[in-house]
Amino acid sequence: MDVTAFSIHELVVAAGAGDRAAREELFRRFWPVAWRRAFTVVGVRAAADDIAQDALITGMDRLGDLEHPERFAGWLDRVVVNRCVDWLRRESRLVGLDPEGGVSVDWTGGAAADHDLRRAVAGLDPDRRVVVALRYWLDLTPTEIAEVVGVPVGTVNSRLARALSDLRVTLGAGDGG
Amino acid sequence: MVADLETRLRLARPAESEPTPEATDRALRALSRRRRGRARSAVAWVARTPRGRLLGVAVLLAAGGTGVAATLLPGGGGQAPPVDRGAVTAAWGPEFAVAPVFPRGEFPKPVAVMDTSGAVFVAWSRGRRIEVRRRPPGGPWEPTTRLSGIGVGTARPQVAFTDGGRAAVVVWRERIGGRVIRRVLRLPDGSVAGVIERRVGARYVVVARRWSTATGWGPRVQVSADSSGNRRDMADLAVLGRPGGAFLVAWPNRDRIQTRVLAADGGLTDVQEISPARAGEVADPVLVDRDGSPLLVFAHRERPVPSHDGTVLAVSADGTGWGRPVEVGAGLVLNERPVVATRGPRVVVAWASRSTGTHMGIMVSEQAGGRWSSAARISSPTREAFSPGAGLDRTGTAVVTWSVGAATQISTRLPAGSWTAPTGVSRAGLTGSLSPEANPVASTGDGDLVLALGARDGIRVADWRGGRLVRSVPAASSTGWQFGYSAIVAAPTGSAALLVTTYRAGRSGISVIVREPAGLGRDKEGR
Repeated sequence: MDVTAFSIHELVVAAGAGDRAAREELFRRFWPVAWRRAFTVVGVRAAADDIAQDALITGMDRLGDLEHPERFAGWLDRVVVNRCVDWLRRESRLVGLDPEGGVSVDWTGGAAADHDLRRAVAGLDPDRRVVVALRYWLDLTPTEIAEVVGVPVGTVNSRLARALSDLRVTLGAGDGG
Repeated sequence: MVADLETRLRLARPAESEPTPEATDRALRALSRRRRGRARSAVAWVARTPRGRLLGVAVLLAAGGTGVAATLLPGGGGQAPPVDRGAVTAAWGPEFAVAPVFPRGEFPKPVAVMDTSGAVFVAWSRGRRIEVRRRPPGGPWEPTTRLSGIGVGTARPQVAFTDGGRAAVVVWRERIGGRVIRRVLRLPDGSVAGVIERRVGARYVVVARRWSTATGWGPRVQVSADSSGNRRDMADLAVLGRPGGAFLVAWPNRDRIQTRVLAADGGLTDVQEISPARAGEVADPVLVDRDGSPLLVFAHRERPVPSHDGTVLAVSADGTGWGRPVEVGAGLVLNERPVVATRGPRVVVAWASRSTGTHMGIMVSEQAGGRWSSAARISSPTREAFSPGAGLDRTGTAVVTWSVGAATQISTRLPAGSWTAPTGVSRAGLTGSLSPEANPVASTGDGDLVLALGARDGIRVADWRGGRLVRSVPAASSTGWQFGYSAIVAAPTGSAALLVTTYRAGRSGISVIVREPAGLGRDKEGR
C-alpha cells in the first residue's frame, strides 16, 4: 500500500487505525510545517523541536477524537500554537535581572533594524506575541488566527492593536510609525 | 502610522528555517516508540510501564519516610566498616524539582553549595543561559532567577558562598561576538538533505555576579582580564569564598591557570598566572581552603585529547601569591576532575587513573606536614573504578569512596595507619557516563561527612560520624543508568542536600532532596 499517494483524510483514518506507514507519512508531511510554525512564534530552535514533537505525538495519539479527519492540519496548528503559548508563559515567569531581559531568540536574517523590531516582538506579552507572529510572519487572517488560538475575532483584533501599541512604545516615539 | 509599523513587521519576518535532521530523527523515533512499553533514547533507557511508575512512587514514599533504615550492603571484598544504625534526627524530604524541564538533547550539569546555616544555592545552564535558585534554611525555594543576558552562550557555572552565607557568587563563561553560519542543503526534489551550522569569530570571557543578603544580585562583572578565541579555554572554572566577602576565581587560559580575586566592593585584583613546568594543556581546576589559605589542584596533560596520560598538580598560595606547582600523581583520565578534601593542614586528593592496558583505578595522594605522599592505588587492579570521592573527618580519618560496576566501595585510612582493603557499601555504582565531577563525599564543616552511594533503586545517603557509617537512607528515586548523582552538600547544622539529574519521559531535569534538622519547616511538597 503506497501511503504517499493518500489524501490527508485517508492518512488520518489509516493512522488512527494503527497503520504505521500512515503515521510516518503523516509525520513527514506535517513535521516541517509544525516546526516552522513553532519556531516562528517562539524563536528558539530547541523549543521548536520540543513543541513540534510534542504536538505531533499528541496529535497522533488523539486521531480518534477527530470528527473531521480532513481538518487535521488546522487542528494540529491549534495544538502547536497552544504549546507555544504555554512555553512562552513558562519562560516569562522566570525572573530576569538584566535590564535588556527578555527571551533569547534564534531568529536570523534581515537588517539591523529588523533585529531591533524582532527583539521588541520577543518582549511582548505571550498572547500578543503569538498573534503578531501569526498575522505578520505567517500571514494568517484575523479569522484564521481566532480559529487557531481559540478566541473571538474581536479579541484577536484587540490583541493586535495592543501589540502594535506596545511595539511603538518599545521602539521609541516616532520610530516605527 | 499603523501601516508603517505593519509593513516593517512583515519585512522583519525571520529567515526561513528548517528543523535539523537530528531533531527530525529524534521526533520520528519518539513517534515510533510510542506504542512500546520501554523506549531507548541515545543516552538512557526509560521505563514507561505502570510497574516502573509504581516502583518510582514506592521509592519516593520510602524516601519521604523517616522510619526506614536501609541496611548497608557489602558488594566487594574486605571487611565492612563499622556501622551504627542509630537514627539521625534530621529527616530527608521528598524530591523537589528545582528545574523540571530541559530542552530535548540538553543535559543539566548543576552545581550546588550550602552555607553554614543550611541555605542552598543551585545553579545550572539551561538553554545557554545561567539560572539559579536559592533555598533559605527551612525553605521554601525562591523563584528561579536568570543571571545571564541574551544570546551569550553560557557554559556550566560554579557557585560559592562566603561571609557565613551572607554573600555568594556565581561565575560562568560567556561567549561574546561571533555569528552562526547556517546553510540548509536541499536535494533536487526540494527536501532537506542536511543543515550545516558553524559558529565563527566568537570569543570567551569569565564573568560573575555577586549576591548578598543585603543587596541581592549585583551587576555582571567580567572577571577575566582578556578574552580567548579557543573554546577549550575558560570552560572549567573554580571559585572559592574568602574571608571578608571576597571570592577567588580560577580558570584555564592559553595552557595556564589564571586566578583573580573579586573583592567585596566589586573590585578585581591583578590576574595571577600559574604555569606548569612542562608545556601542555591545563584543565579541571579545583580550589579548596587548606588551613585558611587557598590550595589549587588541577590537571595537566602533555598530549592533546584523546590521550589518557596526564598529571595532577597542586599549588599553594601564601600572602604574596602562588608558589610552584607540585606534581601530586600521574595517570589522569579525561573528564574526571580530581576531588580534594582538606581538614586543617591535611589534604587528600583522589583521582581516576588509567595506564594503557590496565583497568581504571582510584589513586590517592595525601599531604601532611607540607609533603605529598607517593600516589597509591587503593581500588582493586582487577575492576574498573570511577567517580572518586574524598573526605577527612574530625578524627583525622581519610575516607575515599568510588564506584565499580555493581557497587560503591570505600577505603579508609587512620592518621597513622594504612588504607583498608576496598569494601562494598552499596550494590550499585554511583554514576554513569553523564555524571559530573562533584565530590560525592561532603563535609559538614565540623568534622562529619555525608556520603552519596549508588543503589539499584536510586541513590542512598550515609552519614560518617566518629569513624562510623551511621545510616543509609534511600534518598532519591530511580533516575536511569546514565543519570543520577550530581552533587551533595552539607552543613554543621545537620542539614544536607542531594542534587539529582533526572531523565523521565524524554526530558532531563534537576531535583533536590533536602535534609533538615527538626524544627525547620518544610511544606508538603518538600520545598
